[in-house]
Amino acid sequence: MEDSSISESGKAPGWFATTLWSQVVAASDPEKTQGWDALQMLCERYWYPLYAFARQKGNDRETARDLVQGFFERLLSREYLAQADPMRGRFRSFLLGTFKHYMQNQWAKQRALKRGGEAMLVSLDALQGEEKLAVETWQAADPEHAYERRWALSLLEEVMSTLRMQWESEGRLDEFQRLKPHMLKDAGQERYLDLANDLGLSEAAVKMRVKRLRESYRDLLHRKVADTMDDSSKVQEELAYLQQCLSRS
Amino acid sequence: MTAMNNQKKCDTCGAPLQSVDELCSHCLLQAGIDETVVLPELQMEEKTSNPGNDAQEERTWDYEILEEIAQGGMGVVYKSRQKKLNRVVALKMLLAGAFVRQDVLKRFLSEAEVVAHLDHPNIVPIYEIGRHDGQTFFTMKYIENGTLKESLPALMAHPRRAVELMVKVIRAVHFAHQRGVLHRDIKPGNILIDAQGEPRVTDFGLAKREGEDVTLTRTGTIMGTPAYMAPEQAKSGRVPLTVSADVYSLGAVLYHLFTGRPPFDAQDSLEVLQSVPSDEPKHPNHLNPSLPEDLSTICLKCLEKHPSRRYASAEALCQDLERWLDYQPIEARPSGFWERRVKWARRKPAIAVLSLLVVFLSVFGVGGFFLQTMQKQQALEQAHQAAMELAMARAPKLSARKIMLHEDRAASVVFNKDGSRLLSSFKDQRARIWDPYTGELLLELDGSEGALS
Repeated sequence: MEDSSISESGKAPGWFATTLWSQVVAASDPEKTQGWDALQMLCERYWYPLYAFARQKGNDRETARDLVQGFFERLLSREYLAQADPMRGRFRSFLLGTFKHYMQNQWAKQRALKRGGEAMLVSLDALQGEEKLAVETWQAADPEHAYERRWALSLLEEVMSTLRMQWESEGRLDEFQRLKPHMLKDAGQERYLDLANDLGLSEAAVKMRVKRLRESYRDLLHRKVADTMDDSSKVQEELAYLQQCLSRS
Repeated sequence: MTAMNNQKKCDTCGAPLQSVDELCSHCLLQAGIDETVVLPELQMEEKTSNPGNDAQEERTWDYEILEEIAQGGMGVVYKSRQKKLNRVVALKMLLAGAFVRQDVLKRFLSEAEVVAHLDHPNIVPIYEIGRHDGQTFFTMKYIENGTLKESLPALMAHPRRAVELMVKVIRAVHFAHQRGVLHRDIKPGNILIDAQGEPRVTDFGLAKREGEDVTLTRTGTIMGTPAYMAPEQAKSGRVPLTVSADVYSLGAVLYHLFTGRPPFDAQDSLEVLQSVPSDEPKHPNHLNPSLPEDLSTICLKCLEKHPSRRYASAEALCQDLERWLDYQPIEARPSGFWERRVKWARRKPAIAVLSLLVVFLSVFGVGGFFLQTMQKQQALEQAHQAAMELAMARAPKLSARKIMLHEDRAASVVFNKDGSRLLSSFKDQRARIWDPYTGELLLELDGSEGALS
């Protein structure tokens, strides 16, 4: 199964030029919805590290939720997009840096009171945020280190979720579930034979599908990482950095 | 670290296991890294890094944010307490904080500089400018009672009080003009009212030196508030502005005070921007019949499309308002009959064309265009010929043959004001309206009174 937008070379045509973050960077005119839509998409993907950051800073769940929602409201305002220079840092740094400024101004509670029933620009489920916090098996004393680790994990979750949806949309979710454990390393002869029997395929066909799954994952990972950067040539560097973030205590 | 030591480790890479979809996250990232690429030595980013920190400009943060009071294109304004002096101030900070674009930062600092040189009792004064944690800010006098916007309904019922208040505003604007500063964003929201009921002009965020080009964003977006913007400011493109643009805006504020709405009140900014250069505002007395006519006249003079027809200065406007306050005759004169007809035709071009038709047919008789005398016939034919030649020159697709569908030939052809419609009529007692560019017949009317009405 292949992503329909991925060329034979394994790369989506033009994806280096049209990453989400590069759209935000290029959107100098706040009336251009393209940059705004891209920023909204990025916020929807990566709200959790901010929420957890706000919680780790000592805010209760309601305050943390309101801080993040209020911040996104501000971030997504056309005035903000017109004034900000996103070239000063990657999206993850930009997001945390601007969120910290926002939190420092300490008026979020008043704003929360005023917000009332306003429509939310970004879908943020505080309950889901709390559930994720509860199952974290690691701790990081420094909230900013924790933010970067959660960022890395959120990125991977986003990639795997998209990959899963692609397979599900083709009615091949069961196949995806069976092949996924072997996506990162060779399954071994015996395992391939078992999979071939289970899926009604030849061993060679199973190996080919695993290979393609691996390639799809890799391409998707590169694309999602590039989406958060203004310079997509630095994807490798960012991946290595995020790997270090996972290891750091 | 303790928690990590107790964690399970990945069988493949040995890293503490942090699963994503039942797979090791470390391995997942590794799968994306190209082993053949030599990466620069990675440095973990400074955990306290905030872009823009400059030790030389940092200072102890002397302000406690109390609440947000406004957000505009140039930043957010907070009510704050200045700790050292234990006073409440208005603190204006850029929205983008440390990530602000350089041109935006420059404009922000320019506003502070401009206002710092305007020492006037009806202009909000600036206290200080600084930077904290990468964020640039300046502080101003905090004005308690909100803006003129909130006072509009009350002032509409008291035009004298409204005029007394606006005289002070206009004098402040004139003061700025005398120092070469145009405000360019005068509107009720930028006129604050203090606890003593005194107005204070604020938000010189778009202020420019007189004669400089209109400031646009990088992509040419018009800056200002459309509902109060002068026509020359509403047109996109480089237009040198003068004090006249501010006079227009002051007139728009007066209009709002007297009628309860701005001169052009549309659903969205784009619609307003399109209306301002071409449409005429409704006469204020139509919206507020009890408004003294002199005030309407003063208002409309400010709102003239051509800058040269407005008051020559804010001071001149001020003087006329003071004459009214003193029960003296004002200098502004209301529009004459024909001037009003032309302005009306601009607002209602379709009706103007049909009205012209009615007038024409009334003159020559609804029953037909058969002329009684030879002189009239000859004069009409000459006029017809000239009109036809002009029509053919301007309407290449509308051939003479088509117009000859009036059985013989048209007695008259006339274009509407912007040339988008051609009206022809003749003794077949029919009037026809054409699209001169496509030659399409748009409307056909018979000569009966019923059809015309």
